[in-house]
Parts: sequence; C-alpha cells; structure tokens
Amino acid sequence: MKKLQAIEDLLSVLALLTMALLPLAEMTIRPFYPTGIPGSTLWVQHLVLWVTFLGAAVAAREKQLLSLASGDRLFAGRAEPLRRWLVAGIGFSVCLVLAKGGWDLIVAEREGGSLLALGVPVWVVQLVMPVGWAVIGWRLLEAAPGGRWGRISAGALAGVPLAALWFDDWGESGLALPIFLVLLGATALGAPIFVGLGGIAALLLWSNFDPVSAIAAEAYGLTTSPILPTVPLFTLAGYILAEGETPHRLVALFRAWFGWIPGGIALVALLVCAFFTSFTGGSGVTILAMGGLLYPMLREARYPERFSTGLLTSAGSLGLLFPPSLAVILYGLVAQIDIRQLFVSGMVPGILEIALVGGFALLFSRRTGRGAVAFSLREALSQSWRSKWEALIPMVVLGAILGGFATLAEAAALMVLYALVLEFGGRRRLSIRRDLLRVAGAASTLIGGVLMILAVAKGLTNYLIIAEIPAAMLEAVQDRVGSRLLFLLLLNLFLLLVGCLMDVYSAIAVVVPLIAPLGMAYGVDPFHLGIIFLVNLELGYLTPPVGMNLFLASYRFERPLTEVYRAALPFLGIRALAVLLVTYFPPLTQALPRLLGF
Amino acid sequence: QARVKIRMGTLAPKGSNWHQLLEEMGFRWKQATGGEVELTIYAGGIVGGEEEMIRKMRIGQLQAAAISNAGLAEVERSAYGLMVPMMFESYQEWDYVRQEVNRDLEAKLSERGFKVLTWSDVGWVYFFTRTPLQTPEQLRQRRLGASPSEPATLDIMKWAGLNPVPITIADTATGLQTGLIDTIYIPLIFAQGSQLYREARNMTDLRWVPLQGALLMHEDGLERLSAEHRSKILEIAREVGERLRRQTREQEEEALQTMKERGLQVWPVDEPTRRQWLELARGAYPRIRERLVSPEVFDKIQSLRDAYRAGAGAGRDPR
Ligand code: NA
Ligand code: NA
Repeated sequence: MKKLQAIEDLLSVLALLTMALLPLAEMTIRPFYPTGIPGSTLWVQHLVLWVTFLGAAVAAREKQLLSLASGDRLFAGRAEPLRRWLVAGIGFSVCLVLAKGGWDLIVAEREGGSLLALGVPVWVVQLVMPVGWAVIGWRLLEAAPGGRWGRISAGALAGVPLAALWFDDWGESGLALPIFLVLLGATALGAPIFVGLGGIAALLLWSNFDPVSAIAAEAYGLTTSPILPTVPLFTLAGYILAEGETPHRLVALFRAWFGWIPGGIALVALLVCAFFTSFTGGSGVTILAMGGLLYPMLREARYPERFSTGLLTSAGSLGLLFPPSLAVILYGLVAQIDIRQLFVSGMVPGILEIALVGGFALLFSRRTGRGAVAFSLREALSQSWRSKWEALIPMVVLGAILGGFATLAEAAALMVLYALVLEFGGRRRLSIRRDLLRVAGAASTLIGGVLMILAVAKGLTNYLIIAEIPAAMLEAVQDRVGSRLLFLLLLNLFLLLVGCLMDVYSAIAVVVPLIAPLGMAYGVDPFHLGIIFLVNLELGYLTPPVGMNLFLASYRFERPLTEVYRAALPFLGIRALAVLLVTYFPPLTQALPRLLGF
Repeated sequence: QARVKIRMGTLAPKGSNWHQLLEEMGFRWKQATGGEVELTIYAGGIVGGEEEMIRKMRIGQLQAAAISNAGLAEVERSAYGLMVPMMFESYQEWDYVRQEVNRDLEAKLSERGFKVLTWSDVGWVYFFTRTPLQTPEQLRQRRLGASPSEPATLDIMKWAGLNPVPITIADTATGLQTGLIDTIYIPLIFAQGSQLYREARNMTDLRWVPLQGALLMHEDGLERLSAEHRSKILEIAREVGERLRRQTREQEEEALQTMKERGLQVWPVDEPTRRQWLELARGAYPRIRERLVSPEVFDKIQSLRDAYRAGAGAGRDPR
C-alpha cells in the first residue's frame, strides 16, 4: 500500500515536471530546428488532464480536496459521525456517477477511433478520468465512520443515482428536487466542492435527458485546452518560490525601502501578498504560505492582533488582477476575450485596491507614531543587490512573452525553471533530494483540487448552455431591469453572493457564461465587466459567513472564525469601496488600454 | 409520432450569414414535417470547437454540427485528400473533383456513424504576413504559424520543406505582435472575421488550398426520423447547402474588398513564381499520398483534376 502511494505521488510530480520541461525543450531547439518536438504542444495539454486527476486523487487520499468546511464546526458530539457518514456516502455516489460518465465517453471515443499523436488513441489518455473518479470515490467512502458496515451502508447510497441512470424514465419522477437539496446540504456540511458541483451537474443533465458523459467530455475539453497548462505551471513556480528563500528576501527588500514610513511594515505585507497572489493565483495559497512569515513581522512592529489578522486576510486577494494571475487568464478563456487587454484593464483597479488598503493601514499606523526601522540608503541598496534575482522574476515572464521568445504556456514553464534554479541552485534554500518531491507534491495536490472543481463546473456550464439558460435569463432580466445602473447594482449584489458561495475558479466557469451576454445587452464593455467580476468576487471571499479567505485565515492564524469576521470587517468596507469605484467609474479600467492603443 | 429535437452546433457567429441560413433551414424542416422536427442551433462555438462538437455528437448530446474539412479529417483521414496544397486552381475544377470524391467520403463517414446532410464551402486559404511575401524562398525564411491541434496540417507544411511553428489560435494574435511568428495561412473569410489581418497586413495572391465544410449528423439522431421525414430534411439541407456555397463565394469577394479598404496589401504572384510555389507544394505530395491519405484516394483526386483540365475545363481561364 505504502509503495503504491509512493508511486502515485511520484507519477503526479513527474507529470507536472514533464509539463514544465517539454515547452522549455521546445523553446530551446526552436531557433535551430523551428518545427520543434513532434506533437509536444498536444502532449503538454494532455499532461494537464493527467495532472488534474492524479493530483485530485492524491488530494483525496490526504483529505485535502477543497471544501467549504464550515460544517466542521457546526456539528459536534453525537451528530458528527452522522455528518461524516453522509459526506462519505454522497461523495462516493457522485464520484461513481462521474466515473460512469467517463466510461461512457471512452466507449464512444473508442468507436470513433480518433488518434492523438504518435498513434496513441485518444481514449487511452482519457482512461485516467473514470479510473481517477473511481479512486477518489473510494477514498471519500473510506472516511465513513463505523468500520466496514459504516462504509457499506454509506456506499449503498450510490444505489439511488445508479438506479436512476439505469431507468431513464425516472427523469420526471420528482426525484430531482430532493436529490438537489441533499447535494447542497452535503456540500455545506463539508463534502468536497467538486462533489457538490459535479453532483448538481449530473442531476441537471439527467433530468434534461442529457448524457452524464457530457461532464467527462467537458472535463477533457477544458483540461486539454491550449491556455490551461499555464495554471499548473505558474502555481508550481509560486509554490517553489514560497517554500524557498524568496519570501524572506522580498520582505527584507521592501522593509529596507518602506519600513521607515509610519505604517510602512503593513505596506510591506500588502506588497508581498500582492506579488505572491499574482503568481499563485489563489488568495488561499498566499494566506497559507505567507501568513506564517508576515504575521510575526506585523506583531513585532507592534500592530495589534486583530489588525494584523484582518490585514493579512484581506491582502490574500490583492494582486489577483496582476499578470500572470490565473484568475484573469481563466476569465479571458471562458469569456473569449483578449487576455492581454484584460490584464492591462486590471492594472489601475489593482493598484487602486492596494492604495486603498495601504492608505487605511497608514492612517491606522499614525497612532504608533513612527516606522519600525530607520531608513538607510546603504541598507536599501545592499538589500536591492542581495535580492536582485527575486526582483527580476516578473521581468522573466514579461520579457519572454513581449520579446517574442515564448508563448504564454512556455513563459510559465520558463518561470518554473527560473524558480527551480533560483531556489534549488543559487539560493540553496531547498535541496533536490529533500524538498523537490515534497514541494512539487504539495503543488500538484492543490492544482488537482482546483482543476477538478473547474472541470466539473464546466459540466454544469454544459447544462446551462444546452438548456439555453443564458438566453432565458437575458430575456427575464431585460423584462425587469430597465437601466444600466440598476443592472450594475444588481450585478454587484449577485456577484457578492456568488463570491460568498463559490471559489473563483468555479465562479468563472459557471457564472461568466451567464453574465457575459447580459453585460453585452446592457452595453457594458466586456473588459470592464471582467474586472468588475474579479474585484467583486474578491469581496465575497471576505464576506461572512462563508468567505473562503476567512476560513483559511482562521485555520492559518489559529483564531476562532468569529474573531476573524470582526478583524476583517473594516477591510471588507474598504474593498467594497473599491468595487463601487471600479463598477461605476469605467475610466479606471478603460483609460489605460486606450492609452496603450488596444 | 413523437417530436424529434435536433441540436446542431456551429462555429459561425450568431447573426452571421451561415447562422441565418441554418435558422431558415430549421424553420423549413419544421414546416415540411408538420412541426415534428425541431432544430436548435448553438452558434458561435458555445458548444465547443470542431473536435468537441464531434465528441458531443458521439455521446449523443448533439445530433448535428457544421464542421470544416479539417474537422472531418479528424474523423476520416482520407478527407485530407481534398486539402492538398495547390492541387486546385479554380472553383470550377474544385467543384468537378469534390463532387466525385465527396461521394466516397460520405460512404466512409457513414461507416463511422456520421451522415453528411450537405456539403458547402469555407473558401480559399491564403498566406497573411507581416512583411510582404511573394516567393517560396522568402517563405522558407519566415516563422510560419500553424495550429498544433491538427498535426497533419503541420506535417504537410514540413513535407513541403517549410518550418511551421506550432501555435494555437488563442496565441496567434499575440504571436504575430511579438514576432514569435510572422506568417499565417487561413481562409480569407476567417482573416476578416477574426480580424487577424490587422496583425498581418499583407496577403499573397496565391490560392493555397480550398476549405470545404459539411453539415454532419450522427446516425443515431437520423434514425429517430421516419423515412419520409428523413428524405424531406435531406432535400432541404442540400438546397440550403448550395445557397451557402454561392453566398460564401460572393462573401469572399466582399471580405477581400473590405480588408483592402482597411489597409490590407495584396501582393501579386507572376507565372514563373507561381511555378516555383507549385514545386514547393508538390514536394509534399509523395508523403501526403503514402502516409496521410492513401495512394488510391490521392491518385483518384489527381486524375480527376487532370481529366477536368484536359476535357471539361479545357480552354478555361487558368485562374
Ligand atoms: Na482571491
Ligand atoms: Na484584484
């Protein structure tokens, strides 16, 4: 068993690293041999599929699949085993349904006989889907309490959906609503988010007489789309940097330059957070990885506990608009708009957010009178020299793309190489023997968890589009909402709610196809809409009771959730102000792209 | 008899010529079958690219789709026989050959579970470049972008002695701006529709290859129709397909005019240079014949074309 697990870990890390190496090899040989490696782009794309399912399977084993987790605290004592039993049974059932859909897809593809490259049939590569879902389902079931009989009884829950799939005409039996409520309940009680989304997608497709294999088809289509390799690659790079020397050097660098300003240390924390979020793409990673370093630094500079907690909780989502943020890339992908223009549109709003939060921190710090350290130009310059390679990181990516050396995916791979060389070679903070498997493994679990959510959320989108929900919604809204201002206001409230209930990735996959046609109909510029969407969603992460950042902060800083709520409140107000400014003052997003000639 | 719902996907944007004609076809299907056949069209690629639409037809979520020949070739490789560079010079000889070859293709697709409702055109593929391109020698020095999702089209370019850089459609505009690539080859109508010509403002006046399209329906969807309804919707589809073809060919002229007005430069190719281009393209023929298509299909296409040039089309204008 132990050996099998080691092989599984190794496979998922190897898939991830190969994904980084192939584009680099391609880039290197292109000047001499322009046609590159045969099919390498295709292989890289299909490695994402494997990374997704291997990573998610490992995450399931380690109980690290992303969940709302709020249920953990609600149930205690005698009800707790019941909760775990239900979550295990539902998780298993949904995974079996997904696996069956995956199998149906493979049967259909086999008949079609499509080849990938080098004579490998597509269905062979797709095998990872049904197998992966089955393994994940089994692992979720294993968490059921009550030994063997607990597992058997929880597993028996799967009989309901399987019978429903068998007898097609159950579609009109009124079973849909109760199952829907059970799925929502299980997700609220701590079932993995992908189980909730996948279950609801399967249910909706089934009651619309559509094949459940559509989820597998969408999962395959999404994970093998050309832009997606950037997601795992930038995340891996961010993980390596976060585990290495970079956070320490960046803190030292920013401290030397800004530490003398009253409130400067808070500013340092904000900038470091923004920097990391732009690379890792999830505020969660930033809070988890940076919290341990920045929280003590703030406390040392005599910032109160509550202020420090609130600042870091909020800072986790700053930087989500800056390149190479994955949220922006994914939004552009789903909304089918130019990703570069979306990045340019987000520059000013991103800086505005940092300025507002930073301004608040400076005001707050006036009470403490002066900065934590005295300014010395010599120290600042020497820190700059010491951290030159860290400070150059953004230039590597932008330089490679703008210089015409690399595509976006190749730039992401280059970033991984840079991080590897810097942390394992130059800085020697990490050692290949001791740390490579551990760090890449941690990255691949998170990647698997996130991409799995995105993949099944795409299945939900499939239903929405096939059932022509966006068109129906457009009609309904246009009948009731007359003015653009009212539309924008309702949009703000709606997105706030979405941000509370969903992570950024599923929100993009599910909600963007719904609101993009609405925005178009009300004459909202698609890039403006994109930035509103992202900034608004960040707000949701800070909104009680289910903001994702609040949970993570509570976990990371070991503070009760209610205390984190209170700590985050003032920052929530400031971010709300930013949302309003971005929404109702379009030049903030539109002036810069216009200036640069987009 | 129960009502039959047919879902059809297309990449054609909502409101485009193609989309409007398909809508009209759906209306006529409904009329001709007394309201029993209902067509829903998913336009603008919202149900995925060609590969995804084919996959969704296989699992039974879509019943039909408008697919280009490149997508068809992913289902049935011999379709590449109609994408041999510089095999055809004019629509007349292309029409002569494709009518015959498409009959064979229909039979092969039907073995794979797909029925062709009708054939139509997407139009000629041309080279669009950042700096003027007139000779094959110049093209050998260029960074030619090609989509990696169709490995065979990349192979064809390699066999012709060129150096295609694999680049996805998503990266193409950026790639042209940054200089990662400087040359692309795409259907003229797509150059205008996608606005890619604004990044590559020179067009070489050389018809590289014609691209056709098909309305494809999965047999499972077709089997749900009565024989009578089946023949009715097929008849209507064929008629619409012919109109699409005529309109596309007219649209091609208009698109070129529009692009020229917005700054596209068209570079002529004289007869001696054309022969050089032909030589370049022919360099790929042996391998297309043996590895990609099959000698049988390739030879049939070539001899049909030669027969047209010798007889039916003799005395024609070479362009
Ligand atoms: Na965030
Ligand atoms: Na942001």
